[in-house]
Amino acid sequence: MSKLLLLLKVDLIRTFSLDKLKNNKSKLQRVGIIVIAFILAISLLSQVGMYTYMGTKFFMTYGIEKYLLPIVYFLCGFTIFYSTVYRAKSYLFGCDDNIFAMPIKPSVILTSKVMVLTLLSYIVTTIIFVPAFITYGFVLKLSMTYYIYAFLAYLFIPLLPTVLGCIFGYLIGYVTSKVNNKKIFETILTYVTVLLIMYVSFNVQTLAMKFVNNIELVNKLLSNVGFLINSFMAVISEYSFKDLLIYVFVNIISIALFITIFKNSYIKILQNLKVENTKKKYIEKDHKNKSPLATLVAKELKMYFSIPIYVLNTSFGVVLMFFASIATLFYDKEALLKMMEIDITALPVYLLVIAVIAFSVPLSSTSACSISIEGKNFWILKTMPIKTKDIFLSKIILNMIIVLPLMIIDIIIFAISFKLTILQVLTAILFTIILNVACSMFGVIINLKFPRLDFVSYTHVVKQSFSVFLGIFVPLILALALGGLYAALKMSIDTYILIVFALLCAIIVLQYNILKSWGMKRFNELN
Amino acid sequence: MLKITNLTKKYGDKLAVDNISIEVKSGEIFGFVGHNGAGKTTTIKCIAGILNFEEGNIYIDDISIKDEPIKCKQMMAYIPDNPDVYENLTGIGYLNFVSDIYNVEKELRRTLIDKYAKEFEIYENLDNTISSYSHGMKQKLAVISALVHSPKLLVLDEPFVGLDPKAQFKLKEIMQDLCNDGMSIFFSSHVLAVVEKLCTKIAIINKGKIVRMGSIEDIIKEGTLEDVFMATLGDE
Repeated sequence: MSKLLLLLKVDLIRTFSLDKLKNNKSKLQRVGIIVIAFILAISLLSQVGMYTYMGTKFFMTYGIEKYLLPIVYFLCGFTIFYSTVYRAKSYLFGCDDNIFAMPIKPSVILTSKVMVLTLLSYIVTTIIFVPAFITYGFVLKLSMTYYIYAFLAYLFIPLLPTVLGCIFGYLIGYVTSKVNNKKIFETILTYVTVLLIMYVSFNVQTLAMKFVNNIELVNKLLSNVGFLINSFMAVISEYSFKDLLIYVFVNIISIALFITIFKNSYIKILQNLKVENTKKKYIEKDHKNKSPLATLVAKELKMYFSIPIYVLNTSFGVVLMFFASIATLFYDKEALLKMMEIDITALPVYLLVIAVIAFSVPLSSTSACSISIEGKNFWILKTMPIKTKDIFLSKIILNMIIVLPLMIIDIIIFAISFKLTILQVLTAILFTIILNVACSMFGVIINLKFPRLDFVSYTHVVKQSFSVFLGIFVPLILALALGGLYAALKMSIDTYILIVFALLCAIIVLQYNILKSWGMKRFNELN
Repeated sequence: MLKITNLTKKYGDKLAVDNISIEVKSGEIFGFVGHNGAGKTTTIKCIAGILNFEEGNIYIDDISIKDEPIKCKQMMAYIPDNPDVYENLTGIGYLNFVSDIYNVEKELRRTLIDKYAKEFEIYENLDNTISSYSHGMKQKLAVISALVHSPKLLVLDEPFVGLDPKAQFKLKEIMQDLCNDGMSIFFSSHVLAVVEKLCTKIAIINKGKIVRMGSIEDIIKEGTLEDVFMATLGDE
């Protein structure tokens, strides 16, 4: 087997944790994972198919349906670009030194890594583009020629966005390596990007209308700047062989050029990115003695803010709610609620605020990966004279520090906007606190049950671990069930709130007992 | 200071440590040697409270680590073979974190950090994040963090790996000074010459069992420690 294939095999096994799937899980668990993955894939594919169906019908009413697949192509490309930027930074430009000590050419290492990134991009393309082009062809009753051309187009979609993502990932890595507070810079940069994406997705209808109204300008832009999208459109709608050749050529040449240009300077680039700012000289400062719990909380906070992906993933709910609350101050509330597809007549505003809290708090669960995030440093906590209870408490307090201050401000803003009474405000604040404690405790429990201490990158543990998935979705399902309870029983709001409070308090007591008995035992078993 | 009685540790069906008993008195430096995978790190991790064990017990100053883990951990310090410390903290941030956990007084911590950081020549780097440190600097930081709370028992797993010759010399000097002051040290190493020179007692472990144990004088009657080691485990 050639070195490239060997590297590719090892990288794929590591990226998809195939060795663990094969060696550590029982047959039943393996089947379970495959079934879950299959269900997830089917649901994703059918959702994309459904959106394409609706989109095609909408565009057909204006006679501009030929623009639908180019839009899907653009969205697909952007998703690949965005996810590659993230992966490239740690995977392509943050790899370990061991591999370079082996007798393998840097160009082979670079090629294998780019191939893995491209393969991951193919997964995205398959999920987004395949159901889209099949649905589109089905709705418009297109011939077999269309399917052949669309399939050929599909084969080359991931190449250019992956290359652009790699270059951009390198640029971000280069800029952040030159900045002093690089973690904060990285977090801000990522937040701006995410907010931009959110703005686009929330305004998709308005943007679609603008697109329809400015179709001539779009045509002009496509022929001048977006020649690749233009070629893609010609391939899909006119079955132009010439454009297919141009499209394939541009995509292949982009990846070939990237590898050719970067292969000679790959090691130099890696070394440049690794240079840390170490010019500071230590000057003795006064330090106040802290209690072990305060020390642990301070450590948790420092860790939290030094991992941009952790900040981004867990502050999403509260930041989202903050922007929503600010929006209620400046925009027409009824229009806002209508935009969010909320029927104002069905629920009192006060309950809506409670519902928004119930959905925002679980989204901000820092504790669901707080044990895993210790990773290779876990021995420090295990060997120190710290009560396990204090370790759990520090993880819960971190979540409260991240969630509560901003949430309380949000509630006050909502109170001003919707003219809530003081009692309603206090109830909402109390609800937030109780829910936050319950969710934080649940996060710790679930992370103790499904820890991932041997992670390679923070992304694996913060975004892709099972405990984070459960830590968010179980409370969300509970919130939905509680909402259903209100709708089903049609009781008074006061009685309903009392029942919810009692239930949450019972959950807290139950979780406290679980943490005190099983949790401590489980923590001591982990290593 | 450290008493291990009939310690047995299994990983599933595999016996990693098989009924071992060791005693380290105050002021003693105990060397723990053996092949890779013989059970050294497992034993050390059991002492440090990282691993639970099935049978036997470990006492630190006559207190069982099973019954009173916090009290035991308060009295000892552990340095792993790979100094993985919080990379996102600064060096001084980590030392203050450890000092706070062990409740080290402000003045004492300042004196000790100052002393050891200067001796190991990383004083000027203390304000940098640990991620910028080299492997050796991280090892030095781990050593300082272990010494900053003046433990009664120091447990070290391969402490000299990654240290430059000067730092190795300094660490050996510090280990001897601390033992003269009554501290006990239990450490594993593959550098037999260092073990022979530094230790008062040693144990050779093979396949989880102690195959040789005694004072260094008794052990090296038959030759150098390397000779004894090869004679004992050479064919394994």
